[in-house]
Amino acid sequence: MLDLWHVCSPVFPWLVAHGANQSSANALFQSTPGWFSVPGGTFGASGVVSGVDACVNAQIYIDGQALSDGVLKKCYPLGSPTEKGIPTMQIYKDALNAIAANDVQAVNEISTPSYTTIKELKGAGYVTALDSSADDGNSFMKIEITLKGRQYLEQLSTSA
Amino acid sequence: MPAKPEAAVLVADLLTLLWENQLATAAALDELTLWARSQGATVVYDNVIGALETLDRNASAIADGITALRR
Repeated sequence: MLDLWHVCSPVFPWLVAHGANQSSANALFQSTPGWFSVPGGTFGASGVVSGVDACVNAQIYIDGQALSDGVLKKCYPLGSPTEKGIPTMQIYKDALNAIAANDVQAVNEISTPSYTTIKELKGAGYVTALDSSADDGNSFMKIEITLKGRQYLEQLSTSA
Repeated sequence: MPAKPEAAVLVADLLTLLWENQLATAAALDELTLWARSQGATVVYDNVIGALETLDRNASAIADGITALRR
């Protein structure tokens, strides 16, 4: 079933990458997708389910000022998140589990996990990887989980 | 005189090896600190976690540097 949490969940690593306190953002975001304040600023996220797409819009405010680069907009095909490819926390969890087990050496735009997923995890500091993108497409190689990633995975596992 | 492209590749290769060493060391330390915490050595755990956070931070910067050298 598609709900706001599934629509908004891709924003979470992005928020952390922009400096949100991880535990505060996690607790608030899981309870009420919407506008909330965390140490360091105010983070807003809203999900919209229209006829054909599920979209999420997020904006970061620091001291009441909207950050020009603090905007995220994503749209996905409407349908079951897992069946229709909408990233959920489970996708991040699966990716981190696979990386921790050393099952993922490289990713590209069509692999599972995808380049986009790893890029978001890398931006949040949960993994480190070498960007091997070239003319024929984007890719990462030598992907390794970080201490922060292991702690996040532990947190996801205990909250599941 | 501009550096030879081969030199940049060599530096990137060497940095990659050092980066992998750093990640392996961090992973091993992490395992040991989890064991130390389970034995009640929370001060040791906190101290090592601080060092691991530094390794994490620098690993990301080194990875970005390696990527830049390879382009």
